[in-house]
Amino acid sequence: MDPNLSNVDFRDFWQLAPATVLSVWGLVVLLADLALAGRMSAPARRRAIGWLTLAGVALALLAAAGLIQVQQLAKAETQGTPGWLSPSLAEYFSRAGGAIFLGTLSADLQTGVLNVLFIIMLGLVVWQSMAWSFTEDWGEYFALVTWATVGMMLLAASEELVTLFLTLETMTICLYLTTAFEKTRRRSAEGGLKYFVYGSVSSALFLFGLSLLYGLTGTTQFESIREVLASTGPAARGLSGNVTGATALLLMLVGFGFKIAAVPFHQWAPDAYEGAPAPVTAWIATGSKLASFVALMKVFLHALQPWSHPSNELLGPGWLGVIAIVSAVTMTYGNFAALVQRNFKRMLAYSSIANAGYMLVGVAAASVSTRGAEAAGSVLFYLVVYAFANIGAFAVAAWLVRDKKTDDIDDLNGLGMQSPLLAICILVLMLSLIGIPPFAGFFGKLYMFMEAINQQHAKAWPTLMGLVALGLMNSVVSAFYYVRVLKAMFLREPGGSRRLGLAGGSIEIPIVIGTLVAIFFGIYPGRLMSVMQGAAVSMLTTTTSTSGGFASMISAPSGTGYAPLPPAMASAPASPKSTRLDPEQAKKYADRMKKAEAQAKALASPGAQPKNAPPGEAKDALAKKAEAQQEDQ
Amino acid sequence: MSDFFVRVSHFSFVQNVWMIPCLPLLGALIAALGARRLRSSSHVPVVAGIVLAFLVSCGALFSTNPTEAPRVAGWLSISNLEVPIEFRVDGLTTMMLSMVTFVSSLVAIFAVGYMAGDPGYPRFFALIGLFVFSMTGLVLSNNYLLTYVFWEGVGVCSYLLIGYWHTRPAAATAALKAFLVNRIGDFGFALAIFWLWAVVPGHDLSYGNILNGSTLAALPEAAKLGIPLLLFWAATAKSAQIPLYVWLPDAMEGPTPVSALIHAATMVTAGVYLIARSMPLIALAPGVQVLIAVTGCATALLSASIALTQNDLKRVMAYSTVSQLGYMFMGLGAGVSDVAQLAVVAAMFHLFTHAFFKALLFLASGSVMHAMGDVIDMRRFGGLRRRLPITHLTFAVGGLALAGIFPFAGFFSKDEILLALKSASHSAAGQGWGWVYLLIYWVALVTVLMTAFYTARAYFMTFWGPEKLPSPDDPEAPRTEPGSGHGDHEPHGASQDETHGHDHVGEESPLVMTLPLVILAVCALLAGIVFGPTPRFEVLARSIFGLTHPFEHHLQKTFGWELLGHGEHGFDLATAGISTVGGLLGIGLACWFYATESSIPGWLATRFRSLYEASFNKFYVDEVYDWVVVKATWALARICEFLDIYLVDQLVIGIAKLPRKLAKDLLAGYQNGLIQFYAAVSALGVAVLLFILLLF
Amino acid sequence: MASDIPLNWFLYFAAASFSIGLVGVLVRRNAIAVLMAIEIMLNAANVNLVAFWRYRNAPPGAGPLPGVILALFVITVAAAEVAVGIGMILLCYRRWRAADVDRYDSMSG
Repeated sequence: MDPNLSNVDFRDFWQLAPATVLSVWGLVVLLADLALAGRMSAPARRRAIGWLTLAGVALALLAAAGLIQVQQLAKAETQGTPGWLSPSLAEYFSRAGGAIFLGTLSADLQTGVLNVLFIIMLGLVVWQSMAWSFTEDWGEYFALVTWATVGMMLLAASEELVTLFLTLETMTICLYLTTAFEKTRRRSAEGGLKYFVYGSVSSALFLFGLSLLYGLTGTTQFESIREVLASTGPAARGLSGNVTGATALLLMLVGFGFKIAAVPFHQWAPDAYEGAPAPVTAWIATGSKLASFVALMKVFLHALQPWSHPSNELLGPGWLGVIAIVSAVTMTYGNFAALVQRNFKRMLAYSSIANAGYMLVGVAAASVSTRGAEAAGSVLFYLVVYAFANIGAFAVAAWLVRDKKTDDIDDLNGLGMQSPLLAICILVLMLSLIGIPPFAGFFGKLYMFMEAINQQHAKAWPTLMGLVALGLMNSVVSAFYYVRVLKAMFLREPGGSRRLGLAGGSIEIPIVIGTLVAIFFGIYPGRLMSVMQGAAVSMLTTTTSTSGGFASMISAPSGTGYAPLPPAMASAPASPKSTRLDPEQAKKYADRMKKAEAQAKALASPGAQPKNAPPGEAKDALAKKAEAQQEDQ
Repeated sequence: MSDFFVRVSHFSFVQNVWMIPCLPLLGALIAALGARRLRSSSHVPVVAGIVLAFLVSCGALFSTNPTEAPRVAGWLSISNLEVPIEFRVDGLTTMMLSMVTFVSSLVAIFAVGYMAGDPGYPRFFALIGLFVFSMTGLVLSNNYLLTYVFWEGVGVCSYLLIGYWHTRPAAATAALKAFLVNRIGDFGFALAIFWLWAVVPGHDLSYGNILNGSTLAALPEAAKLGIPLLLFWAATAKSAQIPLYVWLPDAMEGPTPVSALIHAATMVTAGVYLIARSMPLIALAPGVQVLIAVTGCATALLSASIALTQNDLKRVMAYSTVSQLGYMFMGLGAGVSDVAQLAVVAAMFHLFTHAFFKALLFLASGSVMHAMGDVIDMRRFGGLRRRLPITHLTFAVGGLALAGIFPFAGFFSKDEILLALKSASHSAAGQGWGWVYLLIYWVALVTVLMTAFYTARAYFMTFWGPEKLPSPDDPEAPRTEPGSGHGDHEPHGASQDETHGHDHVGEESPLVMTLPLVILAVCALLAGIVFGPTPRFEVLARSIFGLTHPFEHHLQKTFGWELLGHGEHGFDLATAGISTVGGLLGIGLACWFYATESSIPGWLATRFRSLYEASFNKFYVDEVYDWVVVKATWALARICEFLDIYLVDQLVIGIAKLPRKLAKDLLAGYQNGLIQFYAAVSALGVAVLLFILLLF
Repeated sequence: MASDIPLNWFLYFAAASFSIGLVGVLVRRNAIAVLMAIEIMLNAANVNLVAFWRYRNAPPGAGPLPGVILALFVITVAAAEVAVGIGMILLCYRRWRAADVDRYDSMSG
């Protein structure tokens, strides 16, 4: 027996509070539905169970925000730990913040921030689901959506392959089921089955790749995979001639490629998106994609990083070339295929494929850049912005299906006259998705492409430049199909036998929130960006449960995460500095992390800012700030 | 409670300057969002916001600290471009802030009376609030990029307010013209920023980084010449200098309070502010400074001579504004070697006093217009001094200040500029530019005479002579102004008649309008003496107010100005004497010509017909621009249209059809709905990728 | 006992059954057969995992969960997948009156 197993610290369960709350709440929802099933009609149950789920979401949000708060409070030694924590827990929180459960999961800034985001998005999806009765089994539906979220949260936190596979399956299986939930439409069942068959095949491929990787390295832990791969001699490193390695990598790419809908693993997406009820589609397109991208970045940018670009060739033999090709094909295919779509959800599916292509540019950049964490942070930023815009867009689809029974783009005709405010919100969402400057989508693309251009790797640079150029060209193409939506809303007369009714809160709120996010982070992208970069730092570095917090990990140059560059890489001309950090950079990151943590804390609890600090203290702080500024000059 | 006082006593105005732009913005938002509910009380939040902003500005005025730059928030941080929202609270900024918020408050209060009953009332006040937000942000910001953002912001507000009565073609055209001409200047500004970004260390566009000795010394030679030139280019558009002044007279199509606030007192001085702010940079290029001075001088002379013959009261004031802005640029241009600081302070002081008396003159004109049922042609009314006593008196004060008569504000500031020019002619002699400044000095003196003349002419035509109220059967009533491209003021009346009504024609305006006039008149009377940077009256000022030229002291706390040469003040009785004599002469002439019915103007007009016509038709500048720029552009546009339709369009349509055709024929086939096919495609994809991976 | 059989044998076996499963997924029309083929693929991976676990030494720093644990989990995941899959196939069967995957093609393009 592995002696480590006895060492599980049961206080680790506290770190899982948000996921635990949601899991339990799923059961509660199921039971409540069971109790109400005989007494209430389906629409009444929709509202009742929906509100019950929302209550659970609120509870989970509280737990997630509280967890960040407690972690920060406990870590800030000067402020002391809150009195209501037991001494044992206070001690625990003041040193934890790294890996939990023997290093299978992480509980750090990245998971904290993502948990909050997942829960907020889940809230919007649940809220949107209450718009109309597409099913009768509301208990099962809401429970499955909730459990899918648990899968996402843990997937984004996983630090190890077994956990990764399990959480991936948890998430996907729940999503398969919800896809087929719209009982009245044949397409829903078909979409569900296709999603399921494709998903199962790709997870089998993924698992086989995973088993090969396990065979090559003998471990499932990301960090030790990285070490094993990095310590193999330079000649054997890389994938040139390494058939097993290449196969393992590609098969794993299938798994992720399926989840993020990258060409050629994308074909399920349009059918599943079109078939699934709009809120489920929203959840597949946003939450699932966000979680899978995080996992992809963890595996590729952390565990498989030594394989990214071992030699100085243009494309290979690392996975950088593969990712570059997949990215280029994905964005081009997605955009061009979207041009001819008539169905709104199908168009969004292709646009989602195209967006995966853009984001892979950021991943490719992060793999070779000296600013790896910044590049990965820009991908996270883009994901968040994209996710909120898409939840808003799918709310529009839900509105169409509810009132017109179809969801073609033409069904939007004349919306601009009918409800101008919502039409303007949709306009903003579309402009943000195109990437027009004042909106967040623009900054998402800008940050990501800037990071891709702004790195010095001599050989990979042309590749990335090419990708960026292609990405910009594709943005232009994408404008065409987004503008079609605007054209329908503002330039066409309303037609058809059915009219769109009043949107109602459950449609309006996701649209409005998506719009506000697009506007706010467009005017003011800095803050979210710095939080995301901080999250990316903790995402790409390893944390262990034995050491004291990740900040100290980062500044420790001899820590496991920062092995010195192998000689072959160090001596290569224009040496590709990996995401591994030299001590100076580590220090820089540590500072940034602290800043980002503070901001994340502020984001999580707006009221917690020390507003009521005594004036003298505030003044001191201001004076210090002014001093610092003077020194700057 | 005591806690409250502790907090108040610790209230740092410098750290809280962000309130100055934000309060009017908040007011504007409330007015815009609550338009339906607030209706005729939409002004309340905006006026309150601006007045509060003024109070905070006053606080900031006394806690000026040139080295402190409170950072409000990080805004943009892309790769190596970092642009925080950061304010700088130094002498120049606080002076501008107080002036802007003060004048804005008064104008906003005036507008409560003036705009009463207008259907767009909430929109008007929302825009005014937005404007004050942009303008205060412009003078507060601590880096060029943020300045540029607000620079564009004031431009947009100006556009929206000029075209406020957007149903009138003249207003819409004028707004468009203003916007387009300003865009030409903005282009120069943008180029200057790009250039700065490329050459300054750390790509840091903040004033703190750029306007310090080491950065300036390290600039490449080309940048030392080019960037000042580009900044001046930007300033010529915003501050209406040759060759881009043409938009300002047309901008009078906007409501009169807008003309007073934006197109006389505040926004048009943004260019002057920009040059003054960048003075350490500008001072690197003496050639550009000569250009600035020459341009200012030419503009002042040209527009003053146009103003001599205009019949539209507001248009006279507009050309006068252009002319006075020319004075400010003369002052800025005179800032060479050791007189640099003196000259810039003089220019800023003129900006300061000008804001008061020009806003006053515009508001008084507005008051006249209000009383005359929106008639503004001076030939159609006269002898109003009894009917509009307060307006008459305040107009007189403003006019005297503009004419530069002792002891009104204009006297001091104008003399400062003249003095700076004279000093510059000595200082610049070493570089061979001395004679240019001397020439400018004399031209400026001649312009003083012309200024006094046209001001007095407007005054006498309006308030003296036999009493006359506008009536429809006036010979000038229909559009008779020969040749004036935009002289059609009749739609004016037409659209506003319903709103303003004619029931109070010939009556003095209500208190809410006259009160700002009186306050501004007091300022126009006293601002010179109280704040005067001139040591001439130091003894007087100290004995009365206990202050000695506070304006200059205050401005010396401006960041970067310590780099400027700081010469000794001289006192030149000759300059003061000549300019006063010139001013009195101009007034005397106008009095002789216009105070009573006289045939002299008509005789002069026929005697010097060509000159008169040229001046009356604004030296045909608009026509020349029409031919050179507009017509040429149209011709080019026609050619482009032809090419576009028959060449580009076909190509574009072809290209645009291609992707969809491609998608339909090529891609749709693969998405055939068969799940096994999908799986096969991905298996094949893996195989291809594996091949690639192993091959390379 | 197991050491008598070289590791490669297990790997060949796993690869072969994986290929069989993949081909099954691609060519069988019946949805249930497709489901079974997927099971074969998963089990192929399981063989790999267990074999590697038995033959390879874990490097220092390897996590607490070796391959054999994953194999155990995969069995449960496979069970869940089958349950879900059968449910979906039934759902489709009710609508199309057929369990052939190539019949379900109402969405394309």
